[in-house]
Amino acid sequence: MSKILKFILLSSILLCGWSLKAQTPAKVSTKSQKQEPEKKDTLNVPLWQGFMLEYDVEPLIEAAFLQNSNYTFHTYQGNLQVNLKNKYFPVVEFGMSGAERTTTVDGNHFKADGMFGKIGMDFSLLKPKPGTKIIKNFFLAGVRVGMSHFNYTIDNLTVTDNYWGGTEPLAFTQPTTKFWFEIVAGVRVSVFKNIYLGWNIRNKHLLNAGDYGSVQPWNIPGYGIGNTSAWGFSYIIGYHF
Amino acid sequence: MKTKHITFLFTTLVVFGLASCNNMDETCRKTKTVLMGAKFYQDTLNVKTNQYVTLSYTPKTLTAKGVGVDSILYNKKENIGEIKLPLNKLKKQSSFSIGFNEKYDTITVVYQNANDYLSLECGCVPTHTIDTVLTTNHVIDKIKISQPNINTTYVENIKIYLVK
Repeated sequence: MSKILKFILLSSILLCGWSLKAQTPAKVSTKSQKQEPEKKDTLNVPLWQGFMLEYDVEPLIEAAFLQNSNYTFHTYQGNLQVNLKNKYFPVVEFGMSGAERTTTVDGNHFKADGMFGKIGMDFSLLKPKPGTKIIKNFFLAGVRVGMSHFNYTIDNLTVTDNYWGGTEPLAFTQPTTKFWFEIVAGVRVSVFKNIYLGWNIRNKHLLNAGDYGSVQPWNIPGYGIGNTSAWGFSYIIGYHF
Repeated sequence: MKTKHITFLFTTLVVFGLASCNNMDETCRKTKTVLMGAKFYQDTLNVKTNQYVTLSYTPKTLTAKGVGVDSILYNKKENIGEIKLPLNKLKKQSSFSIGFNEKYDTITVVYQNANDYLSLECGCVPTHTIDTVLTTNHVIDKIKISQPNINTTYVENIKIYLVK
């Protein structure tokens, strides 16, 4: 995981640097350009800058690499993100997810299916300098609050007494509601007209992990695997309206 | 523009690859051993004060096994002052035959069971709460419950007092 973090950090810095370079003014300029009241053009950005519909393709690629006979999952998630002044990006995320896994050692079985939603805000970390041409590439950071209500089953568990002898099967099926918050950072790059590509890295923290010893879901729709905190990635294809 | 796109796509592909290295650990690294701890004590006369004081007791040999089970837990073990006994995970009562220097008593532990869920890899670990402990009195004088909760953390759960 530390290698992944190092990579994400480096790639973010590279992309950030590249984006900054893209927004610096051209060295060659005419006298007439120098005399223009450039500051007003770039700083007085109207509030409404449209909205973006985005779809996360990461689960599809992850499924292609990780799914096997003991582990299957599906996640479909997207978001609606409003662009205010190219600085503030309120976002609503929504999706559905399910996972099924059987452990290879003991054959313990887990299955869950459910919907999830997140609400939050991103902030653009790039501040265009006066006189620059506005390029709609964004380096974003923000927060989300997520919730999922879903049913899950854990079965095929056994309690075996090696001294006295005997085995007893155990199974649990129950609904639950989980809440979490996420710290998000990512980039968006305009690749063709209004089409964007980008990625997010997410650090997720479960707010109601449950008491020690209580039965807890192995996978939470929208949150993923982990009973206290988890890392997540999103790979975005979006369209700006 | 081409360079920009190539940089972005390359970065994305590499991140895809790294994210896909997320392998699942199938190993349970949590302890699932749950044993009832019992220590031996004996009231001994202090000749100076002429009063009885309770001291730890270590029998010369100790034998212990579950009643109805062939497997012996402690077979004429020498110089041990405490034992760890596995309660039956599927029943609410377990009896043990304990021999101190070849003299035997039977203790019966009555308890409640609960299953603590650890994780999908580890499953559940049964824990117990002692209600009562009964004993025959050939060598054992009395038994006191010091900690009724038996779980993966080993503690002294019962004190076994031997006759003076």
